[in-house]
Parts: sequence; C-alpha cells; structure tokens
Amino acid sequence: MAPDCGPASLAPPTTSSICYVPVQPTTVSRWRALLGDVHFWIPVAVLLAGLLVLRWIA
Amino acid sequence: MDRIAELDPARLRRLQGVGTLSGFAAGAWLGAAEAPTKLVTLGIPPVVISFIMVLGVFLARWSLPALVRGTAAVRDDVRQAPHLVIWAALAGCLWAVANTLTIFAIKHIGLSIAFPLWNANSLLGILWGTLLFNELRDAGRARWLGVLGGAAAMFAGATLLAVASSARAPGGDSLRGVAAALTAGALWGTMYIPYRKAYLTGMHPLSFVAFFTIGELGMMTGLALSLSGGPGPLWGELAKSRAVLFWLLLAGFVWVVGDLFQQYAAKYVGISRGIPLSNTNQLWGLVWGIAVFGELGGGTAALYWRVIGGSLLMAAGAGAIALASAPSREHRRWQEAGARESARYGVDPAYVAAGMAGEDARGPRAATRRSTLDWLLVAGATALFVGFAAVARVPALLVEWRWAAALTLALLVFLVAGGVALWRATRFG
Repeated sequence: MAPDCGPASLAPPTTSSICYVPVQPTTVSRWRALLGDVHFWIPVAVLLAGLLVLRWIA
Repeated sequence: MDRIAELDPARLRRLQGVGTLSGFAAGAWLGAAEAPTKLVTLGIPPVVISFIMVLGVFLARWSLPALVRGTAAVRDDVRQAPHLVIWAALAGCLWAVANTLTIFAIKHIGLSIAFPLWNANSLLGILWGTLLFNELRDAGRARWLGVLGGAAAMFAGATLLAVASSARAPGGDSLRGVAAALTAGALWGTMYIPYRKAYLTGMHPLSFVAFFTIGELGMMTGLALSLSGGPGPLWGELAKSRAVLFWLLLAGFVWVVGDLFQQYAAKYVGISRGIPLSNTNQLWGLVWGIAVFGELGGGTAALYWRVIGGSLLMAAGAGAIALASAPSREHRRWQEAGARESARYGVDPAYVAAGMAGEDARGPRAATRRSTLDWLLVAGATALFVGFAAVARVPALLVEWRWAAALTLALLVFLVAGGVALWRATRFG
C-alpha cells in the first residue's frame, strides 16, 4: 500500500498528521466478513485439533 | 476514502516502552500464578485446580473492568466492533483446552520438561505475527535478528532448564506427555491471533478479556464435567477441596493481572515480541519453585550450573527482544493491517486509529461512568472471595515465607511500575 501524504481528516490529537494509511470500507455483512476471513479458520482448526488430542490423551 | 494517521515517532517510542515493560510485568505475575499448581502434591485433582482458577479468572475479569472503566465502556466497544466478541470467546476456548492439556503434560513428563515445550508458542507467535499482521515487516535486519535470535535463545535456555531437572520427571506416558505439551503450545501460540486482531482493530484490552473469559469458563466447565464424570463427581471433588479453593481463586486473580499486562504487551509491541517477553514467566516460576518451595534441593553443582546457564540465556533472549522495538516504518505496516481490519469489518477508522495510539476513541476527557451493575459486579466478586476465604485453611506445604514475601514485593514493584507507566501513557487504553 503506497504512502498517502496530505491533510488529516481523522487524525487523533497526538498524531503527527504527516502520512496516512487509506481505508477502503466494504459493505459486506459482519457475519459474512467473519466467515470469509481466513484468519478466523486458523484458530478454529487448531482448537478442533487440540480437542482431538485431548480426547486421545484423556 | 477514510484514513488512519501515522503515529508521531516520540509517541510510538513511548508506547513501545510501555508495551515492553508490560511484557516483563506479565512474566512476573504469570510466573507467580503457577505457585498453586503445587497443590497437586496435596492430592487436589488437576481438573479441580484448573476449574477453580478459571472461576477466579472469570470473577476478576468482570469485576476489574467494571471497577476501572465501567461496563458502559465495554458496551461502547462492542457497539464499535461486535465481531470481536466471537474472536474473544474463541481465544478463551483455546486457552481452556491448552490449560487442560498442560495438566496432562505435567502428569506424564513433569513440569520442567513440559514448560519449555509449550513455551515454544513464542516461535508460533512470531510466525503468525509476521504472516498475518505485518509484524517485523520493514523492521530491518538488526531487529529481525534481535527478535528471532532472542526467541531462539529463550527456547534454548528453557530447554536447558528442562534438561537440568529431567531426572526428576515422573514416570508416565512420555509420548502423550510430549504431544500434550506441544499441542498446548500450538493452542497458546494461535490464541494470540484473536488478541492481535482485537488490538489492531482498536478494542480496549479490558473489554476483550471480559468476553475472552466467557469462552474460557464455558469451555473449562464442559471439560471439567467431561473429565470428572459429570456434575455429581465434580461437585464432590469441589466439596472435598473447599479448604484450599480460596488459594486457587486467588491464583486466578494473580493470573488475570499477569494476563492484563500480557494484553497490553500484545497491543503495543505486537505478538512476535510480546509473547517471548511474557514467557519470562518460566524464570519466575523457577524462582518460586526453588526459593519458596525448596525444589531442586540437594542437587549437584552441575544441576545448578545448568539452571543458572538456562536462566541467563532466557534473560539475554528477553533483553534482545526488548531492545528490538518496532520502528516507525514497521508500525506503518501494522497500521496497514489495522486498516485492512477496519475495512473488512466496517469499523470506524477513527476508533481503530485511537486504539492503536493508546487513546480513548470517545476523546481524552471521556468520563468513566460506573453504574449500579458495575458496583454489583464488584461487590459480588468480593463477597465470593471473602466467602471462600472464610472457609480456607493454609495448605500444609513447606514454604519459605521470607522468599515468598520478597517475591511478592517484586510483584508489587512490577504492578506499580507497569500500572503507572500505562496510566501516564494511555490512561489504561
């Protein structure tokens, strides 16, 4: 993502107001965003694997 | 198009310093919370220990946020990023399963071998931090070396500590023990994905832990019922152990303080640095074991040299990581990851920016509102602690009280230093 330098529109009071990271909002529902987020499935998969190992050990 | 403003370098350095101090404070408090595992030697079932500690954690995690910020602030956070409730509960489930696995690991291969195995979670934390959240990107070679080299040194030191006391490992199924410890490490290393997700999105640590603990207590209750054979046997074990339940609740409380510092470390220095720093809890656990409970007593000189060598390696690794703080260009990559979360879940960029800057999205002068519900939560938790204390007895353990007092003083020093630094820099934001 290329640096975007210019006047602040959302800069909090203590920030330097030099460069900004742009945000492109989406209109997808939060549930759909969650279920479509690959990051979400990593902990879910590890949790299921952990439960399987626990079942084997216990 | 909305935008998230870059942080002033001086402000960034200050937040990094606070995050690093929080990581070390987390290590001290989380290490102290391990002391009650000694109750296993009195015949208290491991599941009872884990379950009551989690209950103490639950009480602390609802009463402390109510006291510090008020539940209205928690509701404000949920309105901004409701999806994080699910992430927090998921992290709590991961914690509960990992904690239960560690009990089996200790049973089969002993604490001294199991501990460094699950502390390998810091290596996994570096992987997830780099891969998913842009940590260490554009950090430069020296900082990569500091973090990776520091984590490797800590792992080597932890292994040396394990070897030092491996002769004392109990006879058990080593394959199951090693599998349990490594799986616990994988769960704990992965648990930091939700942590980082929350803090890149601007959520307040006190709000995150309140929902984390719902997943934690729910999963732990399920596991305790399942492993104890149902509600009747579990209740019977709890009733038999009632004289020591207060100490376990207290340990849960101590653990929460450590975990809160860990949350701030994850927020301000990221998981690739925050996890190894809080993993210094192994050193503190060792000091409690040796000095307060007289573990490793009568050992050979070689044994003590291994312990000293392992401890020094861990300390050097932690020092290297502490010095490898994130520069502005790396922090910009974190902000890109935050912008991605903001866009994906439709979270206000101003809220995300304020959270990453350690500020309150409601403004610097936002008043803390405490309702009747908040005071009821604090009073209820206090009453439960007092009730359990009334029926408690001091466990029949050999304790070196002078060392216990000295280590408690060290905990208080970390609490005051960390608390004051966090308050000054972020108002616990």
